[in-house]
Amino acid sequence: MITVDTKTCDVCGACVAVCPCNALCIVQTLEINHQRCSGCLACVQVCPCGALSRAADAAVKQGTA
Amino acid sequence: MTDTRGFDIIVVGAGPAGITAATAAVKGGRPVCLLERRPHAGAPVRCGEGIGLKGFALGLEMRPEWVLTPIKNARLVSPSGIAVTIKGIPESFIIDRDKMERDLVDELVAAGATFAPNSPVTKAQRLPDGTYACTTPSGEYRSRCLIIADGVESRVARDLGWQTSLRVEDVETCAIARVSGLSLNAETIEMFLGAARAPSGYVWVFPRSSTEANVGLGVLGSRSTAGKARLLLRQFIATRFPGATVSHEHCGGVPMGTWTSPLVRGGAMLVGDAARQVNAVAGAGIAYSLIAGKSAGTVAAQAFVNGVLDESALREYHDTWASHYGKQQHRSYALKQMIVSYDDAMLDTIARTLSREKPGKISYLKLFLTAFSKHPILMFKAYKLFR
Repeated sequence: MITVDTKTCDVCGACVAVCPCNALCIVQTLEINHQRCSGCLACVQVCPCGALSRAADAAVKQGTA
Repeated sequence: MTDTRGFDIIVVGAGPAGITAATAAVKGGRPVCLLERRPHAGAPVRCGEGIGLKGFALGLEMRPEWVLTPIKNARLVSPSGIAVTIKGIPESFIIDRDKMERDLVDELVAAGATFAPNSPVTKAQRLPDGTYACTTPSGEYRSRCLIIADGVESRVARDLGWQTSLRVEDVETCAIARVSGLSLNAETIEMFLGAARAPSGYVWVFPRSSTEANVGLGVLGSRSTAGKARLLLRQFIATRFPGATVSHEHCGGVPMGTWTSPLVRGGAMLVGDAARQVNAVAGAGIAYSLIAGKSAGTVAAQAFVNGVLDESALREYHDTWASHYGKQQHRSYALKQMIVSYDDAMLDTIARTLSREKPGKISYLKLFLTAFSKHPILMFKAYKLFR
């Protein structure tokens, strides 16, 4: 599962641009439709700010896994 | 929450393409609404703000109050630090996009258009009667004609049948900041190349004055990892401008593919970054956005005058783009595909050759010719492109 750190995210839309599943949408913050997400990680790769991560990686970062 | 408002023409996105489209449409005297996700037009501007007047003027008349500084020279620095200066660049400027876009939106409203900030479009659909409905958190907006200018994300078009998602190798992932407290030549832009600084991209230093610059960089999506652009930008600024004041740090994406075809579906048109109307070599998109916006807005207004609002009436916008700028974009894209294959050694070799030339004798043409002579296969490929 992809998660977004809304404090780091600059709502720039680079991730939305590369999402092949139309799973991302910016409303006030970036919203992720997990049903549509295929887990390709293109969004994580192109995120200029490093705000996106796979949930497992995010848990490691926060020391909860 | 259930409010529905109707217009003849709705434009989604108040960047250069959307604003120009709305301006052209409102001149036709029709009810126009401009929807914007942010609380206002203008800042944050995710852009170097550099323009060439020739292209800009095709879409919009330049005003002195938008010009921050004229640009006369470009200094390119190779991976190992060999500098090549191109002098006598034809009329180019760094502009204040925040001011420009706020001015234009104020004028749009004065001319009778509706500007709806804080209105992200979460869903777009075509209703059975052929009208378009855009859902926003504050209500629904309906129109017979829809001009989509929602920028690099280009999400709205996907609800209407377009496939606009970019491959990672066709997006440049960027970070930008405003750096002040500097001592610069305000007439010289600088570009730094090299895999360590910006893999398959470049760092740009575009002066806003002799003491302040837009400093940004792009990394090709296929060579990026999470957060790389922002990290590399901070490293570059800390090394090149130690002690300088950094503000307005933002991230962004630049489409580096070629334009989306078709540009028209039913009563909907796609313009600007949303249509991938960007020069894939330089990443420049302002002039293209202005030209496309003006064309789409004019064609839409004319369709209402003629009383025929269907795909065939709006198709003129697509055809005009395809026959001129569209061809230009295909060439730029092919050229970009070659350039991203250059490694640092190749870039250094080209720079070394050019650095032996007399300053002032170097033009973009000479730069390309040198690149070709160092890599003859490129000459053949380029011949096929431009013949």
